[in-house]
Amino acid sequence: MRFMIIRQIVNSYRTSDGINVAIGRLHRSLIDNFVASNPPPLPPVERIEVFGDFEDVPKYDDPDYQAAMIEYHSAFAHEQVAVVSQAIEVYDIDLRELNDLLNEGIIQYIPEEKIAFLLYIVSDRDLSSVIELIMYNSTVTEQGIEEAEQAFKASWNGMPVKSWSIPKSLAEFSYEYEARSTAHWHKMTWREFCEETGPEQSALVAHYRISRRIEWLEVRKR
Amino acid sequence: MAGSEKEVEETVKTDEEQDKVESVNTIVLECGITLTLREVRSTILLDLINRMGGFDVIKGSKKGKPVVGAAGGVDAGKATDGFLKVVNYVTGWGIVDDPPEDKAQEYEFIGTFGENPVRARWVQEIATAKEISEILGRVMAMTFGSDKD
Repeated sequence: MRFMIIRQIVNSYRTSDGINVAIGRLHRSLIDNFVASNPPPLPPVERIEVFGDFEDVPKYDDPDYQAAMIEYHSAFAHEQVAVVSQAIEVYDIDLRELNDLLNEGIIQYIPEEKIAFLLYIVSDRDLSSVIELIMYNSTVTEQGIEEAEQAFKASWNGMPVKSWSIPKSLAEFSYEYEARSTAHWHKMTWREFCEETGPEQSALVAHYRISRRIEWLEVRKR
Repeated sequence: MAGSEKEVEETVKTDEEQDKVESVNTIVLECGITLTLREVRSTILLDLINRMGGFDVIKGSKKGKPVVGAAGGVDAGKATDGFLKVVNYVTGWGIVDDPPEDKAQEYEFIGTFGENPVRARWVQEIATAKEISEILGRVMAMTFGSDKD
């Protein structure tokens, strides 16, 4: 059974400087591929003794690791902007102020218009908001899941389903794994799932999560 | 497909919070001029710091070991050039104010007055090294601060 759309996608955003940005969506495979190909560097570990046993503790203050993280965040920002710029449209952007930055050697070149706009013109807050909206429109998000859960109003034995605690599984997996499990549970192919909008994907995951929880509660009741 | 538009939400500050924000965002120089500071683009600042050789070039190593040079591993020329660019960026784009009118001609004469006075290096002409260091620290804190969304 196909799910009705719980919430429509957001299609515009106005920056704090009053610039209107048309927001679209990305195919989620672009996002999944980006995340998979940009893992953060791992800190070195130090083996320390803890109550007679030994434990590998990450050294987050390691100078080489910190330098690698700065480089990672810088590269990540550029690559992330390159991906999300495909989902926006802006008009009549004035890039002239970037010439001053270029002349001072502060930036090394002026990239393509939409990328320059996101990287160098909008504020950090506006950039975060734009990225958040594109993610919301394109893939499963916690916001989308929460909205769907509120709309479902699912309860069990008089209390909201989410308020019933269930044992935490020992299994760990990525969001993509859960999304694929959701598609399988709904008897959808992965391709069909990915074609859905972000809010719809989120609603499908919310439905899956709640249904699994209810199943567990029913089994426990017996 | 119909959609919706999200406006930027504005938060209303109390008088006490407003006073606190004004003191954090302003600095009064020894020469008597008050400067209003603002955050800069974190993407640009991170790039500059990266090109320079990392935060330790600004902060200095915690363990007292050299950061720049053969012992520290960061090329001295790259660090110096990079640090100057960080200072130019922060004093040019991290300050809201224009030069005072009575100084405008003077700064134009000595070549610090660019097309847009906010981008000029006039602040570096009037601030001490210690004050520039403080401006650097505060603008970086505002830009990378933990209370950002």
